[in-house]
Amino acid sequence: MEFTVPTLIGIWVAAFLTLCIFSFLYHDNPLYKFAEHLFVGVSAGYWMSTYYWQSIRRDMVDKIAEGDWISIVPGILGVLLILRLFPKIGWISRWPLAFLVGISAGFNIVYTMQAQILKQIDATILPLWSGPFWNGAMGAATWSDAMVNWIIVLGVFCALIYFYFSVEHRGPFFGVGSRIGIYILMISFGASFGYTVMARVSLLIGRMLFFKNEFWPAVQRTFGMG
Amino acid sequence: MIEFLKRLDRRWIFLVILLSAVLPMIFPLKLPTVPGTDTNSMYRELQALPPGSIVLMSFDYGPSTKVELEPAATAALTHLWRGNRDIKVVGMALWPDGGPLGRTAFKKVLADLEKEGVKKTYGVDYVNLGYKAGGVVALRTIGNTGGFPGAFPKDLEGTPVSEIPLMKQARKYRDLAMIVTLSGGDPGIKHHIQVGASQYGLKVSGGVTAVSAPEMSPYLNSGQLVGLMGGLRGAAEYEVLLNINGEALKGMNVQSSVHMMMVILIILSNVVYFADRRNARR
Amino acid sequence: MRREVPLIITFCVGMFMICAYYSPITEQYVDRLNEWFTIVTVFAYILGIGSLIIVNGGKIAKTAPGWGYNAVLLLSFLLTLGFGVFQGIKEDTTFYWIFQYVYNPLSATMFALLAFFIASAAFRAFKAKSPEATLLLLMAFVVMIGRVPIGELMWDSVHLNALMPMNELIDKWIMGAFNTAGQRAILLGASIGVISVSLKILLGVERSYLGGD
Repeated sequence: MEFTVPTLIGIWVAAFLTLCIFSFLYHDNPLYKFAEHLFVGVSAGYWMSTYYWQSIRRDMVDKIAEGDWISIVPGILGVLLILRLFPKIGWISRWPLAFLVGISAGFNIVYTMQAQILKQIDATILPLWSGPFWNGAMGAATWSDAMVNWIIVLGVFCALIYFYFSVEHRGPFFGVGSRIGIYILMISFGASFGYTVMARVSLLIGRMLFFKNEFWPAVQRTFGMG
Repeated sequence: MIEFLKRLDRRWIFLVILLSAVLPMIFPLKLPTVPGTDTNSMYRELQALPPGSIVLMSFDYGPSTKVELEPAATAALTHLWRGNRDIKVVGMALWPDGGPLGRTAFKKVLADLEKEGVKKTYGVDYVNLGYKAGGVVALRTIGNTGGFPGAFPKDLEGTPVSEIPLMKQARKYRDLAMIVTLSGGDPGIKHHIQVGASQYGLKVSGGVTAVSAPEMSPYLNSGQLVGLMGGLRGAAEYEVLLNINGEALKGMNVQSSVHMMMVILIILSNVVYFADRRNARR
Repeated sequence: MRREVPLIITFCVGMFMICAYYSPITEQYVDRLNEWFTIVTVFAYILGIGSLIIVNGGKIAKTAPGWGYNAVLLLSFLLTLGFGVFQGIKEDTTFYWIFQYVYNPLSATMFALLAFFIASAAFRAFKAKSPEATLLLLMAFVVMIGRVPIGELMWDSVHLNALMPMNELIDKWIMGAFNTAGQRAILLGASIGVISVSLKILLGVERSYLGGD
């Protein structure tokens, strides 16, 4: 790894800040509080700079400069939105907010219906037998695939019965169905927990790899070791 | 013993987890990783791309999820370009951090592939368009009449898109062969499925964090996703398929030992619970 | 009029977006609305920044306890923003250095703490108190052990691989069958919820987004 002076200083700063955050595991302390507030400040500054260059400047200011005057409209809406900070005239921020909410709601209705409801229902209509079926239709490739399809079809149905709270969960249909549904959901949540543990551990691995692959060589370079 | 475990200070648990993370780094285990179904599917899809294909690669992650998704991004890019394959890549991001992180991923892969004699030119073989605000609406702007140039007038470096040769070929969604998205959360892979797959019929694959991986199962089953790298494990599986000893594979050692330690801790806590319950009954 | 005009805007814009999906005539107008949406969302972020400055500036002005940390926050924000806006966001700028060596490690480490907290929380709370909890626990064990190389080795060492490979158990049966069923039901339920809330918003039944008077 090549070490220029800014890189070397940067790695030492990164290591110091990492240890400041990790110090919270022992006890809350001023170093952690300092790093926490620094994180919030730098994040806000970073995001604001990115939004300036990659949205306001590129998608609005440059277009206005090229003569596309109608691009000033989102700027006006944006300024109206910021007026929310002033209580006396804050009511006017409801207009751009209504614009944002209206577009989001319209989008959600169409795209959610298509990608997440219709397509998913379509994918739940599965062959429950293996091999050739009635009238030339083909079933699942193997009997274990057909078993998987049974589990998916019954599992989705029973879990949806569990989520139907308008009727009491009693009797052979709602009672048994919702019980099976809960077990299907518990298997799902157990798998999710296992994957969540995997994700959290991966985040720790990232920091360990930083200390091993970047900080240790930087220490060696700083003190002329190795 | 039971009382000791009941009153155990959580800082001892933190120390145990730290040791189980550090020790495998000093004494690596070198255990084999077997690729799974979803990773194999993604590998087959990327392998089947014909020369001249244009792939949209969306870097929808930040520093907090970089450790899981950067190895996935570099593995996918390596696969697309290894052996000097003629696959063009259009990079974009739905997260503000995604643009610079995508730049890092491109640099890393190009530096590694240069040793194999593979050279790619910015603007001809790949481009990084940077961040577009708005989530699913941002993706919809790509589907607008203006296409990519309308949605991204300039790339991440500030070069007008009209001056970039690759963007003359990659104008709209229909010019793309596939979407590969590295998704750390929302907005991300679900929005690419909603717009790219559902509206424009494109194949979507990519990498997600392990937290999101179980949520992707319905999309994999329905065919809306053609393959997936789930978490660091998914990236490690892809590295095995590519026969490279990357960052994800190295992380599997630590993953193994910390997982075993977690299982031991949970078993111990249940032993305490059942012992307590038995004592209470007496 | 302070509440009626926004409700009318929401309805008109939302219905326009729905109709535009089916009609090519409205495409050029939808293009404009989509572009404006992406820019106005950025101003929503500026609103958040404004709140940040007001809250933290207020604490510094009153020299409230811990005001030094608020000063660190505002100073780091102004410095980063200053470098970002005036220098640009390209490589080899001070802004990029701050992104690489301050923002990246802080963000990554904040989330790395979760590994420790999940271990501590699992030790304290993850107990088999009921059949459902036991099932959840067992599945979590199978996934945690099965998704790491050492787990696959253990499975193979007790010759269970001959019965069913660990990969097939997790990929095909747990994730491919049971998890798909559960997640699909959650997805369908949540999606129907999203559509019903969106309809309520469009029709003016749900008005909480407007805030109080």
